[in-house]
Amino acid sequence: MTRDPHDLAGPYALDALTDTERRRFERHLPSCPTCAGQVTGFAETTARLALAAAHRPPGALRGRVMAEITRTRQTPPPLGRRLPSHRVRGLSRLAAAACLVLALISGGAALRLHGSAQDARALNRQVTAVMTAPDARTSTVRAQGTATVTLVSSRSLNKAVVTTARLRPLPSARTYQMWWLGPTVRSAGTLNPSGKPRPVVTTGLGDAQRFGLTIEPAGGSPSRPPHPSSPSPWNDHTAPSDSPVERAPSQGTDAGQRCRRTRKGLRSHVGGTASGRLAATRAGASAMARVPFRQTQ
Amino acid sequence: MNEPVAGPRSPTGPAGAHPPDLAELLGRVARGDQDAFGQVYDLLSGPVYGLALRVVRDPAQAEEIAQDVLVELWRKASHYHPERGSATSWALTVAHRRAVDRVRSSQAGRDREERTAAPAPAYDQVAEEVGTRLEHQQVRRCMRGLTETQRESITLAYYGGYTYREVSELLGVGLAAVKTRMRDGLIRLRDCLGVQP
Repeated sequence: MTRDPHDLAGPYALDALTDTERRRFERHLPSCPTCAGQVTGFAETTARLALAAAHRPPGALRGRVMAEITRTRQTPPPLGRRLPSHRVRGLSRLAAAACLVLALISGGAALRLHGSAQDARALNRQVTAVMTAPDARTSTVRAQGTATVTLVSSRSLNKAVVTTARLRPLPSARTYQMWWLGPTVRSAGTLNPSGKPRPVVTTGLGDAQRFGLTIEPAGGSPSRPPHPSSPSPWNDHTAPSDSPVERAPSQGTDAGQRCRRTRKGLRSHVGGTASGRLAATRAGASAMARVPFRQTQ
Repeated sequence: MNEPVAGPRSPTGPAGAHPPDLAELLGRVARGDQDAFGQVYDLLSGPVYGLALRVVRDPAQAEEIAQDVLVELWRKASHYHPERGSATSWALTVAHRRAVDRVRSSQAGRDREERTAAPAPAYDQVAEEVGTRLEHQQVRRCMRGLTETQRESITLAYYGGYTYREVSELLGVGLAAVKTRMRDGLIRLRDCLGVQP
């Protein structure tokens, strides 16, 4: 092992160091402006060596790569960096993600109280995967006056993260049930907002176009339209005039500000034409908040 | 930070069209823009595949590496820091490291030992793309300007994937001499190619 890594800029730029030597040199770099300057210039130089070796790849490679990226999650930027905010949608997604992270932290704490840090970590991973999926879309609606239901969905992962705030506690004989609404109606699982709300990851997005939340008997109802005796509320595409959903400002909203507003229950809506309501049906037992979302294929 | 003047060209792109800026494209890719990634592919697949082929010398493995690298560029587009160098340099550093990792893994290394018995492809054989030719000619001219020992050290390390210790053994010279040759050779190449650090 070389005692002084100072003279390794050349081998480093050529990838001619072992992993150990490379890590050592990279630790040395911040304290050596001369080395850092050389490394930058050398990296531009070796890039030219690479360009000179260019060779047309087999034609089939393009299709394989393009297919693979559609099912490959992108990693978020390293901490402390922000993506350029050319598009409001990206910014808003980050804002929504930040809000969900806040919710997640408390959710993780709640889980640990119940003795399973491992579950918390697993949930954390799943939530992060959905929120950072390249095709993640966020919709939020207000329900029950001040409650909010936020859905972050990813068609490519076939999953969604659902968070709620201020949903009314239910008697033990009742539970909230989530539904995928599309050509068919499918249960997306149940939700118990007691205690600190935490995000729920639900799968089976499939070809659903809307997401619904109803109050059902404890344990949930089977996969059928909830309360068949009631008019099918999800077929009613007309939001009532007193629709609780408002469009979020389309631009110019600081991410942090939007997050705070969302947390106050003022709703953030991104990338879709969200409309929704919480409607007591005539049957009296069920209420549904509809969260339509637009999800590109 | 400027991209290299003689950057790669799209094999299918219109001749003479203003080449898209890779850094700007990567910014769009970081926000999930698949069309932008298609353009990144057109710009970089040739250098990435060609470099992998040069290092591992096996078309099937080179194709695997190229696929891995290009998908990694999609995954990590947000990790690119414009302040640390050009986008081309960043992407090709990722590609080279991946190819070198592969060639140093056991089986690939053994296969390489067999193939290195055959002569390395001449520059003319690898430069078949019209857009690559100018770059290739310039690099070849500048490589000729190095001393033989500098050229050998750089070629074995960069195109061969050898560590500087292996280069030292292969050439039968001391470690310090190899490090110096690599550094001095790169300085001379950098200046000859007009690289703006």
